[in-house]
Amino acid sequence: MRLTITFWRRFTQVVCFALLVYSGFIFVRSGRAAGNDSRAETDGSNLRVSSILFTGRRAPVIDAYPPGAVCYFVKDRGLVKGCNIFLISDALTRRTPLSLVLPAVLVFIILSFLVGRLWCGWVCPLGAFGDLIDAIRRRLRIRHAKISDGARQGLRIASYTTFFATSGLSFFIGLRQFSYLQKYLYLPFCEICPARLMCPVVAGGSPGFAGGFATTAHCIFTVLLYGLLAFFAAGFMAARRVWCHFCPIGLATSWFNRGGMLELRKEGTRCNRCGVCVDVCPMGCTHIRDEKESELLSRHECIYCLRCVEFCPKKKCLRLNFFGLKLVESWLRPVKAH
Amino acid sequence: MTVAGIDIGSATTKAVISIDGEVAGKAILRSGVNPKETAEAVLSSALGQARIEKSGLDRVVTTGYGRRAVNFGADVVTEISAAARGAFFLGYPWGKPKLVVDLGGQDTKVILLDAGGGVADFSMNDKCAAGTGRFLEVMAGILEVPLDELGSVSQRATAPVQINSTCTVFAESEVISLIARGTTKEDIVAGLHAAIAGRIMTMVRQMGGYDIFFCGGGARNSGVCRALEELLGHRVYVPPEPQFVVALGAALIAAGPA
Amino acid sequence: MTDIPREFDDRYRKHRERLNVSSIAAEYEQFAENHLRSIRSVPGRPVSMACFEEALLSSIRGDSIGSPEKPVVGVYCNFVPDELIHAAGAVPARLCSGSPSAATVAEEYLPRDVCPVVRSCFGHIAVGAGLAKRAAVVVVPASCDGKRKLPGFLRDYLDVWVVDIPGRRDYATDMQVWLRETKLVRSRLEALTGRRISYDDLRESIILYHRRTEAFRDLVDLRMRYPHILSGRDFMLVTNASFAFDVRSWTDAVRALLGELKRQAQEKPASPAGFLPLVLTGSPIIWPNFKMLSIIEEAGAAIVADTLCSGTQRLFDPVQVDEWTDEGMMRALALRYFSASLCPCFSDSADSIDRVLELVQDYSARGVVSHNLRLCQLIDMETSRLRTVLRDRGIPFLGIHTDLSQEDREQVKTRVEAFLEMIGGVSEPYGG
Repeated sequence: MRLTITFWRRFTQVVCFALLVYSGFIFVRSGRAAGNDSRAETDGSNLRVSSILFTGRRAPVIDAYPPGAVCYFVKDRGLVKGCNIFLISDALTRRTPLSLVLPAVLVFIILSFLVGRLWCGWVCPLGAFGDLIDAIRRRLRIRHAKISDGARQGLRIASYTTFFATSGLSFFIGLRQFSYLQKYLYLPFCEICPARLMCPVVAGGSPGFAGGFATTAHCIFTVLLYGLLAFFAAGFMAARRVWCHFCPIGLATSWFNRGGMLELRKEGTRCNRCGVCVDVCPMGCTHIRDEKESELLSRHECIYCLRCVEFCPKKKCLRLNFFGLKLVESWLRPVKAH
Repeated sequence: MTVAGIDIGSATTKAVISIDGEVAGKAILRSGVNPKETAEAVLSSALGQARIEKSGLDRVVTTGYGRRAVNFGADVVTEISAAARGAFFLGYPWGKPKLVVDLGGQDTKVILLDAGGGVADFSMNDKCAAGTGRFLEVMAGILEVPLDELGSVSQRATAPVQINSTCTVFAESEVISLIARGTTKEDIVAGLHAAIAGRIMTMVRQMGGYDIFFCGGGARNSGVCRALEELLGHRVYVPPEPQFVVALGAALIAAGPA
Repeated sequence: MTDIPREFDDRYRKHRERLNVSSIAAEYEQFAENHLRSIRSVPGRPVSMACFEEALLSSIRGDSIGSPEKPVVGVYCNFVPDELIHAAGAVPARLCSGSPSAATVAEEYLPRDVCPVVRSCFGHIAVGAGLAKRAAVVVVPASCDGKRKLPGFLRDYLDVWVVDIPGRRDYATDMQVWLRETKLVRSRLEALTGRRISYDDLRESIILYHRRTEAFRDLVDLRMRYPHILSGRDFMLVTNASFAFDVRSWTDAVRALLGELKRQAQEKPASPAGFLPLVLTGSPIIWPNFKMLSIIEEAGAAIVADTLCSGTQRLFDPVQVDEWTDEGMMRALALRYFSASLCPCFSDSADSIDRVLELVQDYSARGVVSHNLRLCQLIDMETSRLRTVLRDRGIPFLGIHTDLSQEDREQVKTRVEAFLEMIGGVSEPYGG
């Protein structure tokens, strides 16, 4: 087992998965009220908590919403509070006061600004689980499909659509005259999110809403839920990180990917455009190969998996900078045949 | 310091003796088949002029095609470096040269100088006679005009012809048919000057447009100078005794760094 | 000259009767031996160079390479994966020729104004010199104009496979073509040897050749740290030897050379005084025609790095396999052999110019020399761009136009010496 970048990334993914999903059991916290969230009584909102997926929680270990699909719904709350989609949907519906929301949002922005979509590549439990599926694909020697530029753009548009639809709906059902819809539409994305299915189940708890056909709303959500789950699983099985192009949870972080403290840089003169970087990139970034004018390569798709840096056969061509300091750069590694 | 520079070209061999920075003697001979003997002879002639013995020389530098032919402990340098050094030393009346063109008997050199007189870039034609002094020599023979009168002859041209052949040998045939057709010698010679200036310009264009320091045997031809000035659009300066510029440069190099 | 195989001779006797084959082949061997003699006369060369020299001499003579079970597959350029040929059970042999006498042979058949290397390659095969007489087939990439038309002439002598090279070198649009061509070569190889290339065959070959690349990279890295440790000529002997040397033996030989060079580097870590490092670019310099290298190194400069397809560029890029599936391996081969190539046959020369700049920086070179073979438009046009870029950066540049003949040695020497004086300063002219 060689200590490559990928090895450390897998290691980090496993550790973070364990922490984010299971640390609700591991860490002892000052007890707060079990059962329904205390905020429901004190904030005076008109939230009717008997929605199709809301279940009671204890407080998390860390009171923050980091980037990545760190699901709110894991049993015993897990390490952190939840993902940014949950934060936004919940705040918009409940009309949570700005003084409570803004710090959380700021923390999220700062974390995103620090390392951008590194959260997606190294920490996100959904990504980790997906990479597990990918590893099974590799072991079975199934080749992966290439996603066209058009498809990728389409997925990003779908991502934006989902994000704004979720935000819009959440705001909408916060209005007094539509609050009756909260039973069905509270946290609309969470109702169909594959992470919300996967993380609690893996932690041994209830997934909340797992589908059903009781009402029309239930039917619609069931179809969407399992559709997205299928897209997630099939996507990882057939085309590496195609899900991450769509993922609305990663969308907000992707806005801070370029211009953040973490930078993927290339020294243009050292690149001979051999194309290995594009071939190994799970997100299909072609600009890593083609871009020679500008040194900065971070774009919204890059999840900093660093496979390009690992495979680049030229010395000092690609590198990862943090706060302007070089962390790792490319060099020719001896062949590894497994 | 007493030094000598010998330029052993394929057409002529030149020697320049310099004593403490002043030119004391110079000589020129046709090269013939034995460059070693010619070099010795031309050096003796120059030494005679300078009134010193060979043993009085601190250093000798040879340059040119036959620079390695001599065996009396001389150092060698290429004619490009020697031409650059000589040209920069002599300079224009109006300043220091940037572009040097050496039209030799069997080769042509274009040298771009940097601000300090060093060679910045150079281009040589030693493979095709059409851009060298040989071209004019051949044509002078056919037209039965002495080589050193070509310049004044072309001055009297009224309608210079255009020579179409790229090759000296084919141009020869072209000239013969022009003569047969009754074209005047003046017009033909003017056309030939334009042709050779054109060849030189191809090399010059690579270096850029500047005033030219024009040296070598071919620079004595005023007709070529005029034709060159017309095509170039800048001034063309020919130093007195342009054939000795390279040998002078070699002597200066023998004396030490610039 | 060792015997011509009967099949080859029978097939081409009609053609070869018109040529004075044996004298041309003898000239070729003599030429190689002369060159080797002058290289061997340089003092202080590593002892390990001997096996490379032997390999090159035996390839000139066309000594036993290949067998009925292991046919020799001739190739030109660097576009055909050696790994595939090896995995198929055949022997790869690059047949590019630098012999001027072979080029003169072609005068009878090819037009005069054709690249001298292409003419020489043709003459080589027509005469059955060296390895050409052992080749069962020759694979010709349609890289430049000359090579595009060469197959038509070679078909009189050998089976010819053509490999298409799209000129754009764009990953997004051309990857499919590269993959297609690689797969085509593979299926033809399988038909030639009569056996399928299995997954394990290909995997083993790729690993084997990756080790070759690693050894080569180690050599290149050592030269970067100690540029004086191996002369340009010796380095080119090493790379040219890889044209037709068993890959394991070549890798072992390079490792042995590395060991010896490392010991030498311990003793003499600093470059000698007056060391003039230069980067060489342009048309390929192919054994036994090392005229350009000899002139430069005898004039007192050192070629410390190059971008020649017969030099560093032949072996520098690795086959980086991401997923060890059949498709993954073929993709990796296609990428390395097409996408990573800096051949001027591709429309955009930005990457090859960048490579020159990178080398100048890494090796602290004092200048760049471009070896342009006459009639090669591709190289000439690239050189004009390169010249402008280098001038803008103040890097001294010398462009030499020459061909394979030995007659212009003096003229090339004058230019090289003038260039060295230019970059070294003319304060101390070197002894005559």
